[in-house]
Amino acid sequence: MPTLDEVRKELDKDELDYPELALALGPAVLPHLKTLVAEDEPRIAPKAAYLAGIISADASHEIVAQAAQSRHDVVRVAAAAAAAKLPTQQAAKVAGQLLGDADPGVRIRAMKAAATIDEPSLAAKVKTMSEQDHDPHVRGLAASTYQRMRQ
Amino acid sequence: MSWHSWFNVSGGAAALRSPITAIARNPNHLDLFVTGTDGRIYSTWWDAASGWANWFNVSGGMAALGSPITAVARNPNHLDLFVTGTDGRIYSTWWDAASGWANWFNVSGGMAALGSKITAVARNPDHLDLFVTGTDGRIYSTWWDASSGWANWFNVSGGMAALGSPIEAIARNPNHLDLFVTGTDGRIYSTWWDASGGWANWFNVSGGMAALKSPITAVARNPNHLDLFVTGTDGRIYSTWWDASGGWANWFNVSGGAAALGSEITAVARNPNHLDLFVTGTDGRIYSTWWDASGGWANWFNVSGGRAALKSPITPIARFPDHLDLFVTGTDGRIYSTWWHQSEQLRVHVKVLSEPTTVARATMMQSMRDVYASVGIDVVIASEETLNLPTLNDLDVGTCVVGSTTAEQNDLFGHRNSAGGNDICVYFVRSTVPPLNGCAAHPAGRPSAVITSVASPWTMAHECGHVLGLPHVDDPNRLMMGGGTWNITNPPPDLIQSEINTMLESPLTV
Repeated sequence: MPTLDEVRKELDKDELDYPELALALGPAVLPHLKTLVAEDEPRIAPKAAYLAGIISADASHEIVAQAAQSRHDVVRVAAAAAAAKLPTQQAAKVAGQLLGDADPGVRIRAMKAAATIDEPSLAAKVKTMSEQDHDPHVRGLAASTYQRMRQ
Repeated sequence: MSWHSWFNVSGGAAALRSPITAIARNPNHLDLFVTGTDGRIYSTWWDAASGWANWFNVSGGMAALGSPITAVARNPNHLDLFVTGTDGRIYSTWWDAASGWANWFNVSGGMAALGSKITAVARNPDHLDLFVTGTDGRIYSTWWDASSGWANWFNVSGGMAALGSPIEAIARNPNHLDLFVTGTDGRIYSTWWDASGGWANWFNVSGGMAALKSPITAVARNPNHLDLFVTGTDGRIYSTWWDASGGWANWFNVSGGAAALGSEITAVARNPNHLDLFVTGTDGRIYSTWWDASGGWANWFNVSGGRAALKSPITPIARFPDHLDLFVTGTDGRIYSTWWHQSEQLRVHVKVLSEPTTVARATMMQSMRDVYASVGIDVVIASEETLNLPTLNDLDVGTCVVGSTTAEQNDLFGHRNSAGGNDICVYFVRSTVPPLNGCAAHPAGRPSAVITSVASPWTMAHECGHVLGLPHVDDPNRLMMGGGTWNITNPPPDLIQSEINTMLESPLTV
């Protein structure tokens, strides 16, 4: 079992192979990932949140949900991306929350995650965004995403 | 063009003004020879793969302090050395890749004043010609041939010079030798040997004069052309040339250069249309100038702040047409080297979707310029622009492996605008999915990398290194460490020779 600092160092690489890392570290590393997400350091927390999603164990949802509350946009983007790796119900909860995020980039990434989650309530939210989001880029992407979700 | 800082070679030292002999048996290997401060003859070598070795005494050899060691490589696996020993006898030894260093032996009973230079030329791999001013002031020669061994010494056409005068010899082709020397009357003399006609009489070269014992430097840029260099009797640096079609030209002062009387001007022709000169100037600074067929002579400039005692010879060697190595004994008696490498250029277009938050973009760009400049690559920021592409600001980079790109990467990397096919486009984005500091995966024909807002000062240089073909390494001192450039232990990070070669061979560096 690696120490917290060893996990931090592992995540502090420029490029990571997340599936390989998830396989190597396994669910036992999730408590460390929870700590690193709680530290909310933008260099490490996004990677910890995404890795938790890739590991996709029982405790993963809690960590990804915690990341979705971060004050840093890049951590919430990672949470949105990680949401797509979670079981449907948990994924829908995180993605649904982030579809209403204040940052348009987070909403865009949440929308891309939502498109992969089989949950009708998300499609309804995306449809609303295609009509009402104040950012034209988000509205445009929501329109095309909603079309794909209906198919 | 960039000169590296001077550095001490493996802790080596020698008496002030000691000449350092350098020879490249192949482009990735250097052998140095010098008489050390204890009068022992020392050598070290540099290899591209292993760097500088420690100095070692060559077969127990000794010579008077400051004595020049002459080295010739008749083939890449063989070296011949020549020196005037402490007893005034002329000695030789050889190194062979198969058998190592041989013992020193006296060459055909030859003798010369202490410190005399033995000049050696290999006209072909099985033949050596030696030249020296003997103890009676006569100019002597002998030869070695693989079939017959060493011949007796003989006086060359009645020539004479002050004791210790160096003889310059050059083989413009395998059947021809040209000799140059400052004679006993201070006139600059030459003679030649031709396989068909033997030795000619000595003649004064275009009325040239120099202080007694002044070394004459000759370079053959091509078989029908000679360039000579010398410090004249007025301390100015002079040159003349001989061309097969026009004979000898008049002497002229090279770009106003001057040096102490008797100073050696060293010269190297990196290619047939270029000459580089080196000298210790009258202020003890190490100067260089160059001549190019297209632009003529440049002004003299001080090489990397280098200094040496007056009259110290500078040894240049060109292992490649775009590379020079210099060696000199410095003012503190330590043996120094520097190198010059023709810079190549890497054009980078910077495209900003989001500014980095942990390190300023300007810092990243300067860090990249610094580390690339240290290996002879000038990073040119060819353009900078802001891209308003919010849907690509948190970019899906998939697995981020070479040759595999996502639709979002393909979309982003389509925004090359003014970039040429061999230019790298670096896109600064807020984040990637999955979260990385950077990613260098790019479609064929669109060399590109993305850098995220949490990148380190070295991530841009690292990702561009991937674009140039460099893989990850474990060493935390190196730019391409896979453990994360935030964790580089000894910045600025290093690039090793094989990595430099890969970078320079990339079509993106021109």
